[in-house]
Amino acid sequence: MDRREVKLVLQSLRPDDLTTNDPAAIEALVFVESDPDLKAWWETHQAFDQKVASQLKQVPIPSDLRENILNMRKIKQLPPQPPRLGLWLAAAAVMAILCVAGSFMHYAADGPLARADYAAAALPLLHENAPHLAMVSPDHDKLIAWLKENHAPIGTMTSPMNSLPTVGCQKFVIHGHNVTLICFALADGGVAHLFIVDQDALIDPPKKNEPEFGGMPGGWSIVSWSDDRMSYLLATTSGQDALKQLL
Amino acid sequence: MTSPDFEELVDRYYPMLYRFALSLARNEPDACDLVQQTFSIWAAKGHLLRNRTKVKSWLFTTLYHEFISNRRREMRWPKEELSEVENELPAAMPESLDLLEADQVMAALQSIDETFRVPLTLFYLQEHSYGEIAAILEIPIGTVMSRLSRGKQKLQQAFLQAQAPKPADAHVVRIQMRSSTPPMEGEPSHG
Repeated sequence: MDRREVKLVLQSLRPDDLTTNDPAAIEALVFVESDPDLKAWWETHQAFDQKVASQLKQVPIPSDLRENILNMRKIKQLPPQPPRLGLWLAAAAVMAILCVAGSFMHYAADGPLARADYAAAALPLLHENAPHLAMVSPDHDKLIAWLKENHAPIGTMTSPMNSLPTVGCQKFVIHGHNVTLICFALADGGVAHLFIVDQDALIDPPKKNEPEFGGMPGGWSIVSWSDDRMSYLLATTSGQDALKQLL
Repeated sequence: MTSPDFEELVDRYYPMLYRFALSLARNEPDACDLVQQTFSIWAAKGHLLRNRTKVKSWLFTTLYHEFISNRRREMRWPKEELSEVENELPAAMPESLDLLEADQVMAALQSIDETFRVPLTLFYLQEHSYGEIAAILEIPIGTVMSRLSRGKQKLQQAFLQAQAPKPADAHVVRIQMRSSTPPMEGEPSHG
């Protein structure tokens, strides 16, 4: 081991922990004791390392970071919230009409369901923009891999969506039908939530390539459309213009 | 993992994870996002880690991977492998080493290339050996050692540059511009 190698090894040793079992480090530490110049360099170097390390530990932490992390955890642990009063009333009204019409078949588990009921069941899962996500990643490929692995429906995302970073994804079962949720981070700091379900799950799927815009209680703007296989429901609280930019 | 465990884990690691994230992202909001993202992934997947002694490395590795994933969208990760260490390592140290403050250390770290900044920050956080840093960054130990060596050299250069006296010309130009620009209508003239 020459002086240059000794310096290389010594520079990799943590200033707070020089006790090591690494033979190369031991050899370097022994070597430095026999070379006064090298020893002087090493002492100066250690002083520098210790100063940098101690000051790095003084870098202040944002005061709300800890709380935000713990709140995020609490949000994730929340049980599914009941739909808001408006949704309950809407659901009750739909049920009453269906009772009269004798159309309970639509609500049988695993049977197809009306698009309005699908939306009414899906949006509360967003928990006011904080849905429980099984997979959190900005990487589309990771999300798609997770969805495939979990046999969740995978559709075709639009070009604007493909260029947005994702927040994460989840798989739900609504009335017996597998539903995918993919969340996208919008440029304005908002989030757009895309639900994907097989077209056959809906009695009245939206028309192919004809986006239908609408709104739901809670300030949700929604748009739905279909392609050859899947039906899509995109929701955001960032407004309808934000939705249009994603199509 | 129960909530108290999670809280304990957060308390134990979030400060150093934040400092690591700040050196990577170079701004506070992105650094906070990275830390929250990391703990969010832990909340969803942490139970899959069987060896609980690896939690710290898992958190740092995950944060680093998240940073890389985010970055990949913006630009290609610059691939720079160092086969050679500089022949002569720096002998000069900043003269006013004792005056270094935390913000100057972070600013100097943030000013150097990521290739060196990442292992260097992990090194100075004093939580990992160079072997562990190699595992987190998925690079050979020899590469970590050479990057630490080069990184320290660049860090010292950054300190020296920061401590170099500022050119007096800048002040002169500013005075000239102010005196040659008449105040706008309705704007105080500042004497």
